[in-house]
Amino acid sequence: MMKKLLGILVLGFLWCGTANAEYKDNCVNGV
Amino acid sequence: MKKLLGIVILGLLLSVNANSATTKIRTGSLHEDHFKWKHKKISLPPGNWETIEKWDWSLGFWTATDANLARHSDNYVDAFYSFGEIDFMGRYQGYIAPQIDEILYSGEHDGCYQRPEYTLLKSFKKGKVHNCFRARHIEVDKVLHRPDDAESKWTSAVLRKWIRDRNMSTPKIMLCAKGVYYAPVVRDTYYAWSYCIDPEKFGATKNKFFAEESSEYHPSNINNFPDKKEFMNNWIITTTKMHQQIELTLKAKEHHKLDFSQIAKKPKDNKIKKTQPKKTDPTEPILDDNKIIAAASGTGFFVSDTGHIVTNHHVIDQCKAVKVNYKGDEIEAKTLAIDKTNDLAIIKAKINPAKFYAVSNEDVSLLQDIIVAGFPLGKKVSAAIKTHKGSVTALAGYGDNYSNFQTDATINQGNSGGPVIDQKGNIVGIAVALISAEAGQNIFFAVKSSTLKTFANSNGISFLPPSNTEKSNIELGKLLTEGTVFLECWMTVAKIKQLIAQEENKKAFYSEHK
Repeated sequence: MMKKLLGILVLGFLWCGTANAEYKDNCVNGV
Repeated sequence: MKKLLGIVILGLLLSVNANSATTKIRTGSLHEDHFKWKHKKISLPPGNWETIEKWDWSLGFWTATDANLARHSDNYVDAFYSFGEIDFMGRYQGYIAPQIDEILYSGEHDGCYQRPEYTLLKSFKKGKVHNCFRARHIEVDKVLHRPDDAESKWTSAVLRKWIRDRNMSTPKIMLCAKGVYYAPVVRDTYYAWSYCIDPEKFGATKNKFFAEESSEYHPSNINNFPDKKEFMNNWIITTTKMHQQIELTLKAKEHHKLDFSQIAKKPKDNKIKKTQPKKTDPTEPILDDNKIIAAASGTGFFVSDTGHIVTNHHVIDQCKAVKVNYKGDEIEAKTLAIDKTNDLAIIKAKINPAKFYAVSNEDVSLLQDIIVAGFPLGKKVSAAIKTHKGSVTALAGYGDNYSNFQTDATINQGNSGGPVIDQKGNIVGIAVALISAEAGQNIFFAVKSSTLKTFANSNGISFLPPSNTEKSNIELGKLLTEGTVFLECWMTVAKIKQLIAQEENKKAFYSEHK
């Protein structure tokens, strides 16, 4: 589960970097 | 955005082995008793452990370290242990917190919430703090290959490769305990650990079912397998203690700690804990193969006032001695006659019982009410005789065996050889076999009284004529209590090992031998 969590966090982080509007709410602001 | 991607790529490039210098654990390293994890000492269960996977990862601002260890011998893995952490270093907590919530409490396949396959779940959640413990069984192939969770298959890729490359085999069913502790107020690090064992290697009885749903250890099934339940309870006691030790190591705050007080009390209060598997302690003295010890139990019943006892052949088969427990004494019995085909035996002990049974002249009829008595599961539950009422559900036994009949009156291991009586107190059958609860519910078998009579008459033994009057439950209770005995089969340690290795043996071996 730890790997899975890390995978989700990192993928989410990368996804946020692509600035898809639908997922913007879950993204870190200001990066 | 470009800045972020730049950081990510740089982080990935610089990530490998970022922490290896501080954890003292690396792929291939061997450990015993403990391993060093940064500034902490992580205790290991007994045995020699090999690190099969160790990875460090860093994104620049988050770092993760994970170690997976295996205990194995002769290319067979009997236990896995893992410990890992993700240090968030206080960065992006607003992003992390909902993701942790999501994976811990809304994960489709696993999580810190009660699921049918979990035997025990304890969790504490307050704000961003999570403390979670789970105990369960796993179907190893399913966990390794994740047929229903393809997205997570990559998480076990290294383990699968190690098993393949090293030509290792693994148990089909394992018992696992998993823990998680994350409390940013203590340290912004998410910790996870797990420990899995092969129960059979630690003294549990052999499994007969190997899928997650059908496993004897599944919470839906475990009540049908008291020895597995006992093993699982002991497993929970052991692993909750491990979780408490990890809470101490991680300096968990007092009010974050999980309350295992109800579980911790069990070993003191619950007498069946005394029979917990002993093979887990490698320092335990090994029994001499020639030593004669109590190996298995069964039931018998008096058919004369001079100590003739009827039981099943498989109860006394290959015993060095058969001891009759009667009014607190253990009296050795001698075998007078056996019928291997119909699984019957008549033995005799120097006992003059206060009550003994008459045997019915007529075989049972369909739907007839009957009572089964005996000592199911030996004396683990209690020393008292147990009775079950039911009816005759078929006039033939398994495989059209017309010397037997089928009943729904419960028969368990240890009932073998016990009396099956009618309301008049006459013997109408001898408890002999059951179909496992997995294969079918309430299917039990007894040898017909006519088969017993033929066998006894052929050996010059006659029985008391049957009673024609119905007895009250009080009278039947007295007859069952006085006329039924607990039998114990004593044999050499070597013989026990040999018979247990034969899957077809019918004996109700004591759990510590299995």
